[in-house]
Amino acid sequence: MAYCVNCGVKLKADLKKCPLCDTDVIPPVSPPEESDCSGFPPQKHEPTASFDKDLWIKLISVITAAPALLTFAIDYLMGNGIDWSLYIIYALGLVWVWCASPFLFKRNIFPLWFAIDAAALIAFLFLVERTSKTGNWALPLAMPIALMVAASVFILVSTFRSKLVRQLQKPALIFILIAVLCPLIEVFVDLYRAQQYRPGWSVLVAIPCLAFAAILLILQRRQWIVDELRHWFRY
Amino acid sequence: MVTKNQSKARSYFRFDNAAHIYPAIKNRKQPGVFRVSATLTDPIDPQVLRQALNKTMKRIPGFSVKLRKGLFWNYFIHSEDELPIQPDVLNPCMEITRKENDGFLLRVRYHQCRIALEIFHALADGSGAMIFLKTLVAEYLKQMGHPIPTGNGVLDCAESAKPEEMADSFRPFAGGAHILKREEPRAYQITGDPIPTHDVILTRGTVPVEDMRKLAKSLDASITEYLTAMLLYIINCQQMQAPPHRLLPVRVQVPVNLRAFFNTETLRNFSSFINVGLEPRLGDFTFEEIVCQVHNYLRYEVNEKLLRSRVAANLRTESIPFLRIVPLFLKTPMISLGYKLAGPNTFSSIISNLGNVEMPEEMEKHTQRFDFILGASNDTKVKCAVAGFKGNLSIIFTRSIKEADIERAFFTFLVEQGIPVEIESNQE
Repeated sequence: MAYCVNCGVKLKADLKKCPLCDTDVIPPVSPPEESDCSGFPPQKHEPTASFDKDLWIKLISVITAAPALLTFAIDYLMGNGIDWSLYIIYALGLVWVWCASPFLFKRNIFPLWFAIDAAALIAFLFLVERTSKTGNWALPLAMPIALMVAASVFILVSTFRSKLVRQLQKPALIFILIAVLCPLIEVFVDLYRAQQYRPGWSVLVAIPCLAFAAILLILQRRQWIVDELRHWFRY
Repeated sequence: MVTKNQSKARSYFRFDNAAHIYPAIKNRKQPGVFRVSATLTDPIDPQVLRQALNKTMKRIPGFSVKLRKGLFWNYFIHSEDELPIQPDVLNPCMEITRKENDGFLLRVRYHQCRIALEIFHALADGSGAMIFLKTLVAEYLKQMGHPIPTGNGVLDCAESAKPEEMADSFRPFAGGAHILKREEPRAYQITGDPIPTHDVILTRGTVPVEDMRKLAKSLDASITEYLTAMLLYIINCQQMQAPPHRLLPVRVQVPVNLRAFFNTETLRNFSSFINVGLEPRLGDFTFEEIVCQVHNYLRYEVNEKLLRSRVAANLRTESIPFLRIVPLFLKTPMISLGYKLAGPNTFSSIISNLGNVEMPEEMEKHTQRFDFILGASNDTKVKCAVAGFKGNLSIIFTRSIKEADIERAFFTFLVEQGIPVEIESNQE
């Protein structure tokens, strides 16, 4: 028999620490009591995966392959050779990669499937450029913008998952990234179109975004406001 | 024996009023599962338990059901499949998934001398679950060669099931009752660092019932009223230690067994809830004042007329024509949202007292103890379940946060009142 010197409660014989206050139990001189067979077992209930990955990949394969084949057949049989159906096939391929990539591997490795998603997007843009024969826009314009957007999403998701930011800092970070991303997009668009950068629409987006971010960061410093918002929105 | 026709007649069960909400709000963080367990004097033989469970499931077919989704409502369908029995675990009351449990809505676990029943709340309430467990334990003991008579909640597995046992008693009890408008603003919420979703921290305190009764009697209260007042007092003290910008009312939800007010043999859900609380903005409350307030409030609220009014309000929601014609896939998120906005926000914690567990004397001598555990939930961080057996009161706190402040204050308060408390926990 042992008692917690801090709480004053009697503790079960097999406890090494008081569950209420974490105070170490000093082993008593008397011999340990016999177990009453009522202790907790060591093994844990492990949750079964409620999501069937194989079924999902099969379903998404059928859902994307069927319209792809149908549009290809319509384009081939009723049009002048293969023309517009390729865009739909590329887009459906991109949808397949985005939906299936998180479940292609045994372990959910976020950077890996996110890199695959970004690579698929860039490949899609290059294929559209090549098929449409509308000039050289994928490398100087689409790829840098796609990479920037992908990098921003990656930063956001990684930061949220690592719990480096909390509560109102999360929407503030989204606003900051939008404020940074828009001028960069405008730089690439201007350089592609006129070979020179002239600040325009992106400034009008960036200023309100930075203002919103500042407001949220100021509010975050007042815990009672955060608590009230948390109660209102139940987050 | 159950005839084929009887079995066919029972193959489909409509949800009762309380059951509608649980499948809609169920998820990993809110499994809607509770547990009752019996610890016997001898180690459990799984083979014998298997046979006893088969017989019990046949006797109580309302528990041998699987959840099915209809176009407008969920429903239960009777199943002749064998419910798997499982070894007990450190983290009980986790979500019962269709894949893991073959579609059944209950689990039977065993460990050393213990038989535990974990049950999804849509199926039954604590009283119904306790009758199932007592019948299962009695059947197990019978199979082990001990003569156990029926009575005191032990059903005879040789008899066939009665239709009344699976009846929905809410409608006959409260159908057509006048509905009183009640508004409960949000209450103070216990906060803390969350533990991983698939963990649960249980702290069990055992206290002598007689000492507890004397203590409660000294303030003219019942044990439930005294324990509820203690919980309110402690949660209010926690709020006062770090007062928020605006003080919030502290409320504790107390389930009420409606069987005491309506003659029914149902084993399904038949309980209501009362939120009893205090308003800290009115000033400082002494513990004695809180006990008096809880005592009077419960005495005022727990009567047939007001309980019928409460149940009628829930029944009315179910009868709203718009809600009835909305397909289930739209109804589920609507119910979930409605619950999130109006449900757990209105109380700070729950205390559920199953009362003194009674059973035939022949069964009692083979049983060491009974426990009652409420499942962890993300919305209500700390819950308390109470059950009395053989002169001891088992008080089990379930929490989903790291901080043990509430139960520590609770049990040390009892120690300060001169009540000996023995503590155990599932913490590694």
